[in-house]
Amino acid sequence: MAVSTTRESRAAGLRRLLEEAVLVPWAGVLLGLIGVCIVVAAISPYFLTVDNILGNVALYFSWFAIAGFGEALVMIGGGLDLSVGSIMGLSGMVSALVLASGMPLWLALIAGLAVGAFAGAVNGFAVTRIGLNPFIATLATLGVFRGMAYGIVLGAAVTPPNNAAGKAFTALGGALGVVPVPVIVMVVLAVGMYVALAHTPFGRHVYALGGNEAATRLLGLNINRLKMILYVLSGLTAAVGGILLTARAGTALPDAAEGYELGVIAGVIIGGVSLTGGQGTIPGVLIGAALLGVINNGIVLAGLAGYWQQLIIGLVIAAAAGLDVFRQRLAYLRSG
Amino acid sequence: MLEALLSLRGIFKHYGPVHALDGVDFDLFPGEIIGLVGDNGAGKSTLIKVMSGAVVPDGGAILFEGKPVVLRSPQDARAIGIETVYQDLAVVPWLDVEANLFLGREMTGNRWWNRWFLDKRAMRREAAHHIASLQVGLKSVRQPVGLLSGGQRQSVAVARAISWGRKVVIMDEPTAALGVREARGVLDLIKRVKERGLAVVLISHNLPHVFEVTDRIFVLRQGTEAGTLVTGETHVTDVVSLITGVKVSAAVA
Repeated sequence: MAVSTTRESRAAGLRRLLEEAVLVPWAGVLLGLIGVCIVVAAISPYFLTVDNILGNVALYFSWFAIAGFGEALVMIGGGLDLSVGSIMGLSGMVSALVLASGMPLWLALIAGLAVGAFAGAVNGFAVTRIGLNPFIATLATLGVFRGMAYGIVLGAAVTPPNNAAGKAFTALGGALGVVPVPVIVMVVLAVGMYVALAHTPFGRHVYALGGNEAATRLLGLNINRLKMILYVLSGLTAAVGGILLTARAGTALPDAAEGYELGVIAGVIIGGVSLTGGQGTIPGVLIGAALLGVINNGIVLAGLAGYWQQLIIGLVIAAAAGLDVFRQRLAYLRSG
Repeated sequence: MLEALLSLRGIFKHYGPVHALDGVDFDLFPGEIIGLVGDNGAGKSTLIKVMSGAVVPDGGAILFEGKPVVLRSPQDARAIGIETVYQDLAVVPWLDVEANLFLGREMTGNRWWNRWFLDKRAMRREAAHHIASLQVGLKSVRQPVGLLSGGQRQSVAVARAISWGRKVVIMDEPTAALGVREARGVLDLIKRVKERGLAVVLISHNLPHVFEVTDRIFVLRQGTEAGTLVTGETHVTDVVSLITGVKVSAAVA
C-alpha cells in the first residue's frame, strides 16, 4: 500500500515536473536545440569539437544574439526594430573610420557605440514623439542608416590602419585562448540583460508596457521614456554586434550585416519572444540564436547548398510559433 | 456635521455644445459607499474622470478634506489618496498577481548590493498577506493574471487600488462583466473595503448590486444631480424614477 502510494506520488511528481518544464518559456526551444544538435552530430563527427562549437557555431550566432538582446527588449515592450542590421553596418563603419583617421581604439569604440545609441534614439523619437508605427518607423530608418553607411564612404571599404590601435581593434574579432571575444561579450551581455529584465523594476515595466500599455500609462509610468530607453538599448546592442563583426572581418564594408535584421528577429521569435509583446526571456533569445547557429553549421557540415538554410529556418520559425500556441493553451487548461 | 472627504462644487464640463456636466455638487463622506447611477450619457463617466483626475473640469471646485485641490492627471489624484479601478484596463495579463499588485512601486533590496534589484520574496509575502486579508480566493500570487477568471482579475485590480489608495476608491462597473457568483465575490470585497475605513464611489448599472452595498445613491440625469437618496430608506422604483425622469408607481415596477 505504502509502496504503491509512493510510486503514484512519484509518477504524479514526474508529470508535474514535465508540465512545469513545458511551461518554462524557453524549454521547448531548448529541446529543439538539443534535437538539432543530435542530428548534426550524427551527420558529422566534427560538429561536437571544441573548435567547431566555439570557433564556428558560437561565433556565428554571437552577432545575432548580441543584437537580439536589444531587439528582444524592444519586442517584449510591444515594439519592433527593423533597423538593427543597418545600425550594425553603420556603427562598424564609423569605428573603422575613426581608427583610419589615426584616433585611439577607445575613441573608435565610443564613436561606434554613440552612433548606435543615437540611431536608436532616432527610432525612439519617431515612435514616441512623431507617433509612427514601429514597423514603419524602423523600416524607414533601415534604409536611412544603410544609406548613411554607404554615403559617408561613398560606397568604399574602410580598413583599420596597421598600427597598435588597428591591431587591438582586429583582436576584438579574435579569440582569448579557444573562446572568441564576441562570444565572451555575448555571455557578459546575456547575464546583464537577464538580470535587468528579470530582477529589476525596469524589467517589470518593460513586460507591463508590452502586456498592457494603457494600464501601464494609467499606473503613472512614463511610457515614452521607457520606449525611448528600449530603442536606445537596441541601437547600442546592434552597435556592439556591428563593431565586433567589423573587427572580425578586419575591414568595414558599407553592406556589412545587410539583411541581418531578419536573422536577429528570427532568433528572438524562436527564443519565445511574443510578436505582440509582453512575453519573452533572455535565455530564450540566447537559445533561439544558438539554434540558428547550429542549423547554419549543420548545413555547411552536411555539404548542402546555402539556400536550404532559409527554408529550414522558415520551418523552425513556424514550429516555434506553433509550440508557443500549444504552450499557452496548456497554461489555460491548467489554470481552469 | 461630519466633514466631507471629497467635495465637488458646481462642476461644469462641456464638450462643444454638449453639457456633459452642468453644475454638479457631490459629497463623499469618510467610510461610506456611494452609488453613482444614471442612464447612458447622463455624465457618470465624466464625473468619475473628474474625481480621478483623468478629465479637468471647465468650471467648479474640488475640495479634498476641506482644502481645494487641482487634479490634472490620475497621478495627482493618486498622490492625495484617490485610486480608480478601471473597467477593463487595470491589469497586465502576462504578469503574475504579485507583479500586478506592485507594478509601478516595486520593492527593492535595502543593502548597497541589492538596492537596484527586486525583492521578490518580500513582495510575494506582502501580496499573499494582502490577498488573504481581503479573502480573495486565489491559490497563489504567482499565477499570471491573464489565467485568472474575470472575477479574480477584477479582485486583483480592486486589491491593488486598496493597497495604493488610502482614502478613496472609485470603481467603474466592477461587476458588469462577471457571472453571478463572481459578482458576489466582488461585492463582498467592496464591503470589506468599507470596513477598512475607505470611502468608495461605485458606478453601476446593476441596481440590485447598488442597493446591496451602498449607503447612499447619487442619481445623475442629463449632466445634473437628479437626487441623492439614502439607500436604506429608498425603493428601487424611486431610483428608476430619478434616472428616467418619469414617475413610476411601485405597483407597476
